Amino acid sequence: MPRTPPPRSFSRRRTGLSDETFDTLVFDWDGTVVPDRLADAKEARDRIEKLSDAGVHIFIVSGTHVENVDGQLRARPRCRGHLFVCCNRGSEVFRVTGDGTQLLDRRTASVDEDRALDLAAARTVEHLRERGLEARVVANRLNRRKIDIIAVPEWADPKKAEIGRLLNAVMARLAAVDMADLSEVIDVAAGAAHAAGLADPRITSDVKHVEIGLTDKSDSARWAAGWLVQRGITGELILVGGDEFGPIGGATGSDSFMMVDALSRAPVVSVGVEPSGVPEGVVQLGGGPDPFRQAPRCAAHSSS
Amino acid sequence: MVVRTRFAKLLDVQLTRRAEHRVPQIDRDPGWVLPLPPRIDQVRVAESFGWLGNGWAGTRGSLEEDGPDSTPLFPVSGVYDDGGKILPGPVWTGLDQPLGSRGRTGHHRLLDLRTGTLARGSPTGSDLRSMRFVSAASPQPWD
Repeated sequence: MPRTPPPRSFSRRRTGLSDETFDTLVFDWDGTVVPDRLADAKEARDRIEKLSDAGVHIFIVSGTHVENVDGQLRARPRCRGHLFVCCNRGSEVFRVTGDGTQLLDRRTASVDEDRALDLAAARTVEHLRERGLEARVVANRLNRRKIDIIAVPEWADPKKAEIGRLLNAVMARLAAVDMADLSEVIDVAAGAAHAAGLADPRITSDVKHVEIGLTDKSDSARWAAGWLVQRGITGELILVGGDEFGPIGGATGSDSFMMVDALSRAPVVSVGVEPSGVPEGVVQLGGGPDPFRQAPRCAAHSSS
Repeated sequence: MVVRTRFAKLLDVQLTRRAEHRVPQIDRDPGWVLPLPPRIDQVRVAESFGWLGNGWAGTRGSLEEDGPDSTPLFPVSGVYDDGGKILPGPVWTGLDQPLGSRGRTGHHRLLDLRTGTLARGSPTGSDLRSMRFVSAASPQPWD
């Protein structure tokens, strides 16, 4: 029998994703499901619990820690479909049940790795200062160090919706010291990380910060793919969602790290503004709140 | 006023489809998915390749609309007729109504070897779609 790729036209068309039923949803949290970390997540909670009841597995992938996501979502599914929070930027996986959260997996840094992260962060700040850019290490998170490159009161705690203005402010700050964009800052951090002895540093940026770490969202996506393949759930049965797949200010979009080889056939959808466009294969739905009033309850809600 | 985000709309679509019992299809992984030959003169070959079994019961990969070239079969291990031959069970994959011109032509059938699922569709997605499997988790449903 010939082993040719099956026809892409088989029973479905990849246009709006509305004609496909997925076994599993893998998606970013902040900016995708909720506009920011202070928003009321009740609507998301209702939907996620109902999807779990319907047997859909859900992986929430986030850079923050589990208390932030679970404290906002507060979903307690009955677990026909499993709910996972893959957090701390790829370093931890929690399962969420009716009883709360349960740690399933954690990447633990060795003493040498922690020391190397500290050293890499300090050297990055030092090198940036030599270039004229004031930056400072603001957080010592699990398996990563966070460096603030716009540590000014006006941008002390920018909301996700302010990303455009924040980007302009950061780009102006970089231009003032003859740095083209965030990619130069990332290069500085990567060089410092390698010099500090980190073999595989993961450098990311949310525009305000540059982070040096041992893991990133690709580790979350690979963990999810590994759990799913054991249950026969692969590729096109999985929907990946986020709001930052395209590059921003010269930095790789944080959600693009979820596009790992193990999920290469999974449809990917962006609900972000994506000022520089999205990588090939990503369906861009556009960002911002939807401009219509929600019906009292959707059809699925009223029937369940 | 409640503002629904675009991602929430995606979740609503999935909830609606689940409420309508619309199930996921198969992952068309070329390493695991075998297209069955669609030609009329290869019906018997396709039926054999499309056989699904779980060690207790099995279903031959016959087309749902059946026909003179088709030999559907649903045998169960240990069930024989008085002559000691395998006793065919009821053909649960057949259709009560004929498909007419929509049958047989223009369909694709894909055997997903990873999940043991036989899926049928068409290039337009508008004709008969079917999925069949034989449960490995509950091989004898009444046990």
